[in-house]
Amino acid sequence: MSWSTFSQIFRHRRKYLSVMENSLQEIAEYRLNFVLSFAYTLIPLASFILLWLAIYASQTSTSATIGDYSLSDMITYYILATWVNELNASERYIWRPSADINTGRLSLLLLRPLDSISYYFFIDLAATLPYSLMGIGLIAGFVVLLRIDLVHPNSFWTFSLFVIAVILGYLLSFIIGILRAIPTFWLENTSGFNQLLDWVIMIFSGSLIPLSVLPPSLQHLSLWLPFQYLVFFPVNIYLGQVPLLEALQGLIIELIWLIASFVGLRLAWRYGLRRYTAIGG
Amino acid sequence: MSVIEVNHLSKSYRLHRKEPGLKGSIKSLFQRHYEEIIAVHNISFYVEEGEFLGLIGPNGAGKTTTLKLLSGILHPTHGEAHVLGFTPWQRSEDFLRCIGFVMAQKGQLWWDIPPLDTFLLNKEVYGIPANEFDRQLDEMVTMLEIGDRIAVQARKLSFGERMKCEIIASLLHNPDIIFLDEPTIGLDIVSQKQIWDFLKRYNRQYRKTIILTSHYLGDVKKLCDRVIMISQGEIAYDGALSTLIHRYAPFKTLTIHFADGVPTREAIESHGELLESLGDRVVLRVNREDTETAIMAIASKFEIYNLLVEEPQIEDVMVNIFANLSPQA
Repeated sequence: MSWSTFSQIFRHRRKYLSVMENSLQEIAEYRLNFVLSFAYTLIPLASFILLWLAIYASQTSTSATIGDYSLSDMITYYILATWVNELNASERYIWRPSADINTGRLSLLLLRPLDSISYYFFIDLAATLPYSLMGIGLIAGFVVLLRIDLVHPNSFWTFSLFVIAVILGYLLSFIIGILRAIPTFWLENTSGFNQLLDWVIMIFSGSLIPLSVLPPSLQHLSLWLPFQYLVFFPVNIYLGQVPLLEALQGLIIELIWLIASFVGLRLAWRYGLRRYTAIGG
Repeated sequence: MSVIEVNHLSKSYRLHRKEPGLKGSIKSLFQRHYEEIIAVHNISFYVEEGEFLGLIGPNGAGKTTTLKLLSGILHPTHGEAHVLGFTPWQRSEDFLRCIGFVMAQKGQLWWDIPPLDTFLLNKEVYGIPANEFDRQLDEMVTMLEIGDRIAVQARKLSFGERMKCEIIASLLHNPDIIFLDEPTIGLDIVSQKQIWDFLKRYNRQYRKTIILTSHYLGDVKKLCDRVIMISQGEIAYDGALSTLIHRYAPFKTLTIHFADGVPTREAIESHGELLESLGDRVVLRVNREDTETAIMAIASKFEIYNLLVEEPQIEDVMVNIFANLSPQA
């Protein structure tokens, strides 16, 4: 089922390229907003760095580590986690399909020879590409300005695996984002549920605190959830905390999560559409 | 050839009803009262190729539901429909390429970019060849007189300009069947007329089948060969508009100017229902078949210098019909 989707997209790539083109133009209309929406994430980033500076300073030994991280590991972790978390789509884009289902605008998509999920994906991809590049620029400025010593990846392989993990994590975050919109087919308001889920994802993705600093019980739980692949896993690969073999193993498990959630999404979406066309857009 | 065949089509929803107030809200947490809403009940009709059909009826009669069923957005509860040989709610790509749907309430234009970019997106979505796209766009832009406004961000356009662009966006792929849901709602007279002329020409020139819903009788009067009146989900009338008026308004209006002042109220009211009396002029409503006798009788009794016999205004007729049909009555 998933394979046929890809071949469909490829055959109709001009449709989806055109969707991306329009989406980019929309972003260009609001350039300043686009820059600011990333820039403000530097404020919590700076706060976290200050917090960890204080924590490490209170340690007795100067070469103290917390959860296997040295001070510069920890700072690098937060800088990369901010970037990776921002380029993940799950929080930015769930509102779109949700709102379309609620207002009945989804009908406009159903009336056209277009795959709705692919449509949402390319709208998001169009935003994510420039957003992540701009994020690199802003974070580079931040690092240079504050003279932060970033940890560098210890090999080309580490870096390559990091890039692959980031891409897969982005795809996973997109699928999770759309999955979170599915309950809207049945319930008018899902914001309470989604706010709760925001916190669950924030904690178990490692965007708030590295998972290795969490209490063992939570760490154990995180292994059974897909969220660590969104932030913690790629950033840890970069920092050299994950041995090569283990990283490959992790990527395979991530791929399984990805395929399973994609198939689940397709089924759930079809089921939801049945409900949508039953009660009327 | 029938392009649309509808057989015993029904659509009902289950809605949960809440009693008013906080108490009602708390109660509904534990016990929900569901209510079956019948939007469309057992309707059947055929539409021929090239027909211009108007669906009329009061709010909530089931007009939009019917369009949604025929365009495949809605799944029916019972019955079947064939549109160009397709079952609409299967939404096959070939079917979707053959229909266009203009919804006044939900625009497809991208808000922050010019309509032209939405058009270009549709060009790719429907795979419209470049030369055909240019020709089609050029023709529609000229007919609707919006010119270079299509290069301005949609959010900066006037309501009328946006509606015209919605129509263009929905027709660029040259669909065989066009659904329009309240296409002229809230438009000024000039835009209204441009859209009427455009739709009329599109229908005649290319023999495209068009179905529109409207509250606004101007639309129907100017455009539709045939009307289907829907009331409480059922077809109350199917045929020509003029026949509908005859059936529901079996009267004519007489406007009489008297030479020597208006006679007494009693003298006039014996001939018909007095609608208006102003200066030397009296407006009287009489039964269609009594028209002649009434005129003769009045003319023999009084000196009149001007007489006008009119068919009733369609708007007045509809008010009567809808008032009789609505559930409250």
